[in-house]
Amino acid sequence: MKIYAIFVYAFLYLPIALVIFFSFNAGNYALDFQGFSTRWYAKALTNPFIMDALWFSVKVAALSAVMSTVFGTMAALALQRLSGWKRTFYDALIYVSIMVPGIVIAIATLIALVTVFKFLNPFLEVLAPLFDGQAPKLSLGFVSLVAAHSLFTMSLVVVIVRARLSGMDRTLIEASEDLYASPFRTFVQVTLPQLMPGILAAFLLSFTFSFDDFIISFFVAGPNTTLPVYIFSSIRRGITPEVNVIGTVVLVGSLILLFSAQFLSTMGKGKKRSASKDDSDDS
Amino acid sequence: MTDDIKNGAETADIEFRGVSRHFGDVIAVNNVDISIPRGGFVSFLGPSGCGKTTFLRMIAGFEQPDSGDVLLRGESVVGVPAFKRPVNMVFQHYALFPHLNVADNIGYGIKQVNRKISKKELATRVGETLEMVRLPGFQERNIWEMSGGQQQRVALARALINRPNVLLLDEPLAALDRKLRRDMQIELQNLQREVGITFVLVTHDQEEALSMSDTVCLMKEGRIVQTGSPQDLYKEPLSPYVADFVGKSNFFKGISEGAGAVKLTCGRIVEGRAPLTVELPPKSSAAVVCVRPEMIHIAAEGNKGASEHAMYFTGNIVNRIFLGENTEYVVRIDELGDVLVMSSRLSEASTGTFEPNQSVTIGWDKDATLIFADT
Ligand SMILES: Nc1ncnc2c1ncn2[C@@H]1O[C@H](COP(=O)(O)OP(=O)(O)O)[C@@H](O)[C@H]1O
Ligand SMILES: [Mg+2]
Repeated sequence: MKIYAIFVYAFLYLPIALVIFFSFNAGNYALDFQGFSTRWYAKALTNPFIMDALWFSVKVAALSAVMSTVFGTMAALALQRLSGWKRTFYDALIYVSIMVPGIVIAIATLIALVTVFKFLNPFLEVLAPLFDGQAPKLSLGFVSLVAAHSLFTMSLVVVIVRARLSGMDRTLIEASEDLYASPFRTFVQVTLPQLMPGILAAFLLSFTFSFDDFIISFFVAGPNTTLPVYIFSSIRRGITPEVNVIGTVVLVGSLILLFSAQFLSTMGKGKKRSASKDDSDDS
Repeated sequence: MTDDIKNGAETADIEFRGVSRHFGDVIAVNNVDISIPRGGFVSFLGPSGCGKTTFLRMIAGFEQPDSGDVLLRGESVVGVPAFKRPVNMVFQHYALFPHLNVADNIGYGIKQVNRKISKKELATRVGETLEMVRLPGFQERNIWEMSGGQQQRVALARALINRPNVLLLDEPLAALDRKLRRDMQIELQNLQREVGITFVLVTHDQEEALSMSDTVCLMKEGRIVQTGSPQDLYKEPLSPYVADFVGKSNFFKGISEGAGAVKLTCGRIVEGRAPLTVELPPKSSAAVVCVRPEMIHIAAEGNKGASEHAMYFTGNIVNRIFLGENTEYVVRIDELGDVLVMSSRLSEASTGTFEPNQSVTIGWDKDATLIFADT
């Protein structure tokens, strides 16, 4: 291997290796290694602030991944039926929304939500008597964050499911209808199983995106703290091995999810390829 | 006018009345009338793009006609979706469900119709059907673990298990290699006799159509140009197009002399006959003479044999193609151009084989000469 390639890899992976290494530090300071210990793991995993932030992040990621997967799959199926300029137009919109920088999405979502809340909250005042004088009030928080993440990850889902859909053999659907299955049963019994690897991969990708996201969460989460936001604020108070522990745990978790996504999205395709390979020889 | 394949059939299994289907400017199926009786093996033969698949898909319900009526067992099915039609199709590339194993693929149709069928009964029927297509014990196999020929049989089983009125086959053997194709041709024929339902097959392979079916409909540009037994199509083609598509033919142009004679462009007069049910072209109109290569006798020049025939010419061999059971010669005749001659091994036993550039005499009889109007 060329020497500069080694440097590139070292530059990429050495910091990550250091994070993992220092997460086992026995000392009190992040970069002052005092011997191996898992005491910071115990400390981090019992820190209520960390656990709250983690739990909040998991909830947001899970819910927004479910929403974006469901609606994204529906959108992909609908887009497949469009043709001509309409299809090009909506396709372009999807790709644009993926390419827009996160910071723009974050600010835009924040402004949009605040404007909508400002508009709606006076109307909700009317309901005050129904709630013991304390009118419900829309504000930033769990729901707004889930909504923002769902919207953004939905585009990812559409793109992944669309790719799977266009690679799917259309005659399978006709074969199913030829065998007396109604369009609905055909969808459940043939289309959905064919798309499933793509849908699962899209779900996992949405989950990791939401879980890792800092920018949108920072703007839209309101008073709540997601794990990345917590890490950011705790670093300002000085880096303890606790941060390294969180980093390591999140890294391992994300890797597991990403590898499963990768595995799922290639699994189905591999089967299909080998099915059509030996078309002409009998045994 | 309806092409009745067999007279005296009760209600036809399939009937097309003036059916057309366009795709934009393309007329895929053009005003087709056909009546297919129960229990036969019918092939639709034609070159690629002549509308065979569209025709089949209108029976299955994947396409609807623009005009005309499609009837299954006497009832119009125009507008009836595919999943409500009592026909099943074997797709060209099989379209087996890759996420289901062999047994689940085969049982798919039954489970849609009868959702409460017991596991045991389903397993019995799947087992029986697998034996019918000679794949016993393959229930648990995955689709991608099977060869092309085996997948073909699973596709057949998946359709036949439903006991449809009609089985539709779209170029079912096109993806198989030659030897396997031969085996499957025989198997399909046996299977059709065994189950007794109507098989409708479309193919561009004339050998496939001629060898398997009792009736062949030859298609051209969305129309059916001739319907008949394979022998009829071969021996009594109604037009040069049929003579050209079914088997091989030599065509020579000329002017009709009336009374079964044609004056070729070279000036020689050829005698022949019109195919049954076709009129001879009127005197002085353009005519085409058709002679099958296997009806032409070939002999070394000066030897007896070929020159005893009503028509004979002398020329040089320009090409020889050895086909195993037969040998094809291309003979260049000054008066006619290049003529294809087929010589069987049996006749070669007496005539010997011929070499390129050798001078030969070819000849044929009046009976072997068909005369068509040149359109
Ligand atoms: N879905 C379609 N859209 C547009 N044109 C089609 C479609 N299906 C068939 N055609 C056209 O109709 C003609 C007949 O096609 P097809 O029935 O597939 O012929 P074959 O099966 O004999 O090859 C062709 O010219 C083809 O291009
Ligand atoms: Mg076709």
